[in-house]
Amino acid sequence: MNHKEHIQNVIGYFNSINASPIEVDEERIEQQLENAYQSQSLLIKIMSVLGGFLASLAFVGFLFMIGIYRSEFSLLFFGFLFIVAAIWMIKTYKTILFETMSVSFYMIGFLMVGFGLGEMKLAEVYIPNTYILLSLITFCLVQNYLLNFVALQIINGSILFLIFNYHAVLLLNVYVGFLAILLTAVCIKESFLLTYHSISKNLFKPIVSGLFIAFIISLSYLAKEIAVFKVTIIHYHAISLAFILFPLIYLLLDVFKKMEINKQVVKVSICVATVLLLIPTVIFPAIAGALLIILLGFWSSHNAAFVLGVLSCMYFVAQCYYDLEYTLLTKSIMLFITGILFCSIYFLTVKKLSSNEAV
Amino acid sequence: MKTFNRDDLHTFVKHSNINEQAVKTALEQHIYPQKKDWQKFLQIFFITLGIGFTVAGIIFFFAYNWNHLHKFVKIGLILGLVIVTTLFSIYGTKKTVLQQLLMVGAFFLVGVLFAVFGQIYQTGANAYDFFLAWTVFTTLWVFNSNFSPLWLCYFSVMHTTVFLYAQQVATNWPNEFVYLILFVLSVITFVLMYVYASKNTNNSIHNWLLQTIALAATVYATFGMVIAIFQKYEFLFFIFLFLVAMVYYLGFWLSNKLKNIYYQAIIFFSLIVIITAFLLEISDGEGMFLFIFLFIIFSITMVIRRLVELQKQWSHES
Repeated sequence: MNHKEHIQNVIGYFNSINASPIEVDEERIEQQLENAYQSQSLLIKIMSVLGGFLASLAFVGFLFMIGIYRSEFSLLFFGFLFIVAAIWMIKTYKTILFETMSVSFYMIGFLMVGFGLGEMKLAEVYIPNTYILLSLITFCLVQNYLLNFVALQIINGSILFLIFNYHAVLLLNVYVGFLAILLTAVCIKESFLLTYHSISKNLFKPIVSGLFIAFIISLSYLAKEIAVFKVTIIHYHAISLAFILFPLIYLLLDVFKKMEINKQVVKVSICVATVLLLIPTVIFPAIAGALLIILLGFWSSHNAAFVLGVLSCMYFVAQCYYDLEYTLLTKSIMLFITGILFCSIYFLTVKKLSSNEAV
Repeated sequence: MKTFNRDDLHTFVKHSNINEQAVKTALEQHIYPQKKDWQKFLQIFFITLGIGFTVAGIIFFFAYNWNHLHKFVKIGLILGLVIVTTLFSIYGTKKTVLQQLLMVGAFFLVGVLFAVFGQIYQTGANAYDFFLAWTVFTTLWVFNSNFSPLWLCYFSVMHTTVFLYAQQVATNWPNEFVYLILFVLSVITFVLMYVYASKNTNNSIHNWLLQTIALAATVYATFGMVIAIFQKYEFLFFIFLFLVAMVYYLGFWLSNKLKNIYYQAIIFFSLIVIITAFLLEISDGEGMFLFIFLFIIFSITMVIRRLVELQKQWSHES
């Protein structure tokens, strides 16, 4: 594949759509494309990840053997040291093996810091707060896909831990809603974030993937609410459902533009029908959340997010029906009616959806 | 050629001064789905949800009445499904993909049939003869089907049978012997499939099937060798070592012949794990852990370097 030709083609394209001719650092682009092409073999990537993981495991074994767990101070000290070393390593070395090792050291560092703080017998709340602080500092210091992704998951996990520690059911729903809006905003404003500042350029990819995963994890905690909190509060669910429905309707309006549906009546009726169809999910808002992920993943062409959304939707529907306390007969009737409903929607819209092609 | 993917776009935007509007236009024209894609998506979305929920409703209905069904009805129902799917899949001379998928469905329905049989007559959970019967009775279909995913399912069931047999009946077999048997079985399967695939060019034994079998063989070899190492070098260890050495040598030869780094890569990785186990057996003090850590980093770096060089060399040759 000829990189130079490809680059010239793309430059030509951008010159045609941009107001003024663009300046491009061709050498660095070519270098980056070469690198991407070189290490494209999935096999080598997997080997590097496994190798880095095994090496870190061996190192953790070494640490345990020398008895580092006996002293809280050494745990804390070496934990911070590992986190700093991970950040240094990932800024200095750019190969996949060192990236994986750096991420492993980063996670080991966090584990050791958590261990050390736990051994000091402080209040439990210090650990997640420290984690959040350290992760935020990581965001300022380094912009790397893997490391920032892991840092975002640590922040998400710490917030969820705090929510469970204080039994804040309302906060869980508000947090899920907040994530829904943040995720949609980031996806929609891709062009803005890519061109705003050099830091946001590099942070875009890890934040988008990280937010998708964080949103799915928070949704699954919302789904398991009954197992964890021992209570299901429907009014609070209404809050998260509302926060999920707003971005959903916003995306629908954009889809109308793409599908060239212009009649106001049709637009309003589709929006109202969607909201009515999703109102019953107030008992289990995770389903609406998964639908948002599917729509968002497809809208912004993130195939992995789309597939994850589909899988999590199937899981959440299964979990919802599992938790429902009706007889199997009632459940079968409910499922059958839902199925017939969707089939009829399909038959109603199939003509509309394919007739435009003939024209 | 004006098409580029999202990674290319990001690389470009990072190293140039393209403005926001241009990026938005580029995204909308090349990356975001167009009207056609949306139409297709919505069609597939609604019909999948519709069929999925309806089928789930029917299954739940049967589940509700399952305990009240007579055992003839239960077995008859599943047998009926097996017959219907098999008939549909062998109908006609030219096989479509749907028919091959139906054969896979029939394969799993045979498993369900034996599972229901086991449930009615209480033969015990995960009985090895359930898997054995499943393997034996689907052999003809699989050999005739010429469909790689079906072969993969078949081998999985076969290996599960061997595994469970060792667990439930031959409990006096040492663990590494079971892995040795599975290793030999996988290697024989690989050799047979490879020879068959190279003799008939008009076949559907895809590369990924051969690579998966090779991976299974390597995994069995690794597990077996690691267990045999920690069992203090009995006679079995030396047989295993000899066989594994021969097969790995053949693996390197095959990798060079096919100009494919895959077989070399998995063999190297397996060797690194085996050597690590060997080192751990010698001593499990703290110095050894540090040495293993350095050894793994060094060996993986060397292996990856060699593999990347080989890949460059072979892709330039072809």
